[in-house]
Amino acid sequence: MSELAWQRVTQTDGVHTVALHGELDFSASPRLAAEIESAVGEAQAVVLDITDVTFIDSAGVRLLDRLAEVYAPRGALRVVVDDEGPVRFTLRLCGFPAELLETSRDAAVKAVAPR
Amino acid sequence: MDAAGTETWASDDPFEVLFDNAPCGFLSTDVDGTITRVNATLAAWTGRSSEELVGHCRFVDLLSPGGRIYHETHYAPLLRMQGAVSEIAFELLAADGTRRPVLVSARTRAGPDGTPAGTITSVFDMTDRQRYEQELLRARRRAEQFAGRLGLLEQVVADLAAVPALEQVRAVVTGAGATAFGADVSVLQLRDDEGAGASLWPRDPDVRGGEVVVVSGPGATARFPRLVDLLDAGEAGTVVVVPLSVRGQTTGVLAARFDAARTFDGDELALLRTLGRQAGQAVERAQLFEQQRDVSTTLQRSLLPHVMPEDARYRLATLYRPAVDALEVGGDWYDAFSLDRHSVVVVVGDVVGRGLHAAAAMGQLRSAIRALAAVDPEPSTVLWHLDRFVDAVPAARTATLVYGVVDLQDGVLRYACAGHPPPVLLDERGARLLWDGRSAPLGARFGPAVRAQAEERLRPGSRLLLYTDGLVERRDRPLAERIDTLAAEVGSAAGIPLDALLDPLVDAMLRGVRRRDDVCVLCFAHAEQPTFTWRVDQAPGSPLSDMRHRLAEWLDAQTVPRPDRDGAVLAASEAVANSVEHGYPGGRPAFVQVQASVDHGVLRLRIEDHGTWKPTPSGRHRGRGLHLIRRLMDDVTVDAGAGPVTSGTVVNMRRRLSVAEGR
Repeated sequence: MSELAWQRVTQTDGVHTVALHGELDFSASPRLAAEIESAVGEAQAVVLDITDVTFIDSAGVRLLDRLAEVYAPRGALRVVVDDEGPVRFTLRLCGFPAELLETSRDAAVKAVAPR
Repeated sequence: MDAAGTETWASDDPFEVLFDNAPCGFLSTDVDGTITRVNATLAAWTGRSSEELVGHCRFVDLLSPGGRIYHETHYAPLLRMQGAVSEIAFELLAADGTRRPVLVSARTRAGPDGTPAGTITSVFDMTDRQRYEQELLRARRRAEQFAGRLGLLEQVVADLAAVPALEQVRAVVTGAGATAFGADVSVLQLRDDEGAGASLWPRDPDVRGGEVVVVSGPGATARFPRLVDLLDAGEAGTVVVVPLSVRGQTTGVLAARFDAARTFDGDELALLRTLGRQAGQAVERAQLFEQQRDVSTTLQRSLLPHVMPEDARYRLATLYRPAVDALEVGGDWYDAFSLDRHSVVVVVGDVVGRGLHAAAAMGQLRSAIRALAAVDPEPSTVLWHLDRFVDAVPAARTATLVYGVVDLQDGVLRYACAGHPPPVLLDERGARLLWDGRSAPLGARFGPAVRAQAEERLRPGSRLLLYTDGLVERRDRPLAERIDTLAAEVGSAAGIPLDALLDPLVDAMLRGVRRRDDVCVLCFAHAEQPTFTWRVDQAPGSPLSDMRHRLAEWLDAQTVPRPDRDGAVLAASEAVANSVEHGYPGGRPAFVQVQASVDHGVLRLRIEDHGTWKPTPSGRHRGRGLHLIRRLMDDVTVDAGAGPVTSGTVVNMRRRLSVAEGR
């Protein structure tokens, strides 16, 4: 139940939506980072839904940071996460940019969709 | 009547001359009291001629109203009864209304047939004598008052000598203003006082010159506006400003307010000046005393350990309280230090005497014990070496100490007392004294060749109290009884949180103790609360999920609030991740142990591994984990044991819970 898994949910107009569930800690993230990076490939924008992630540590935040490095400068990354709970707490603690966070997947997709 | 022929007496009759001009008054009366003869002296005193008096007046008519009453009620009956009275005080009332104090003596005169025929009276002028007496009385009253004030002043001087602290000196001096001089309000203001100080008597030449100033009415307000304000003095009264002078310097003033205007005579001013000088000296002495006491207390504290070991498996509380009126640093100390991962040493000791020698010896002993324990922590061995050590440090000889080393894995305490009062052990069975493992003070010639030591298993939640004899010594009670009292006090404090234990305990023990010595106390609280323990025996790359879930469950069971729980789980996870990822670069199986405790609203985590600690082996990533931990916890210490004996890393962290828990 705690094992981390991820799935590609949708891929429309170059926006790749990826949902994760489980615990995003250091043991999972290096492998996961590589997988996600290859999966989104040449995506124009990425929505990472971590609503079902129950735990995230600094290594998990590092993974988000790598995605942000690539997509955030052109406004093409949103992370979907609950407003409360330990995951949001950790992101806040690490100073992850609040403007990259959304609480619903729809809002996140709308935010990064090309006009 | 024989009075009839008075005028016919020749004036050159020597007896007549004597009678008329005697320095006292004479008169005779008939049976009715009517004056039959009077001499010139008395007639002159009454302001009447003898013709006006003789045959027309009675003696009683010459007296003041009060005298007349006394004459009727006492004088005349007494004279009738006894036939004579002597030296009765009256006032003569002269024709012009002036009064003359007189002493009157009289006796009755018998006629030829033996029946009363009248009285013969002599009157002495008392004017001068009364003035003298009154002056005498006034002088005596003044002398009494002066003596009274002098007595009070002596008392004040004695009181000042008996109180060392500045606050006490203030109370005595201001009290003297009221008791010795009847001031309605008095205040003591020192030059060094904050806020006011010398601005209260700005450049007043008298006050600066050490002169007592007495001012009344508006003059007072004009001269000392702020003092008058401070005294809340009205315009009607008098304000007295007494400078406190030391070697010609005015260091403060005693200002007093008298609601009724009054003056001060020379004697009183002299007394006030003396009071000012005495108070000035007392203030200087008190300031010096407090300075010295601060210095010695600071020195003593600087010699005690500043950092106590932090560990989830035990807690420490310490207290040092210097003697009340001690100016010299004492030789009491406490110490606690981790020996290795699983043992901790606690020490309380007492070097004989006070002063720098004692303090220096104490510092040396403390260092020696740390060094010796690192080599071999066995109590008897440490004491054996200390016996040799004190041969080279004479001031440390006959120091007493209690030394204990606790194995944190099985809770076994090994301890030894070198001439020191026994530790108190408190567990669920109650408080008792550890009387075993005893031997002589350090370096004692009568000491045994081999030092004794004893063993005790500390139960979970037990407390071990070490102390110096200042806590139990009391002149009016046997030491053994006092040590038993301490054990009883510790027993009755069983439920009290460790943080709130020592101060009240020491207060209770020292209540009513005069001239007490320094007190050092150390309390070791062994695993007070249930502890969480988890081992991560796994290769790098495995999830830590299990540890996190169990830790979260355990923290929930301790009713740790959610944000604190999540923070602690994250911090533990980060620390373990560090250990697994970086502590074992070769991919060896990791041994990582997580321990947690919650005690009185403080959560402690201890993460231990046997790998190698590299603060930032791969740049900023590792640093970020530690950075995160530091943000999550109030206090984080990383002990990367770099020695040959210890390897691996221990991270101790502490966080105060956001809502203090009842446990």
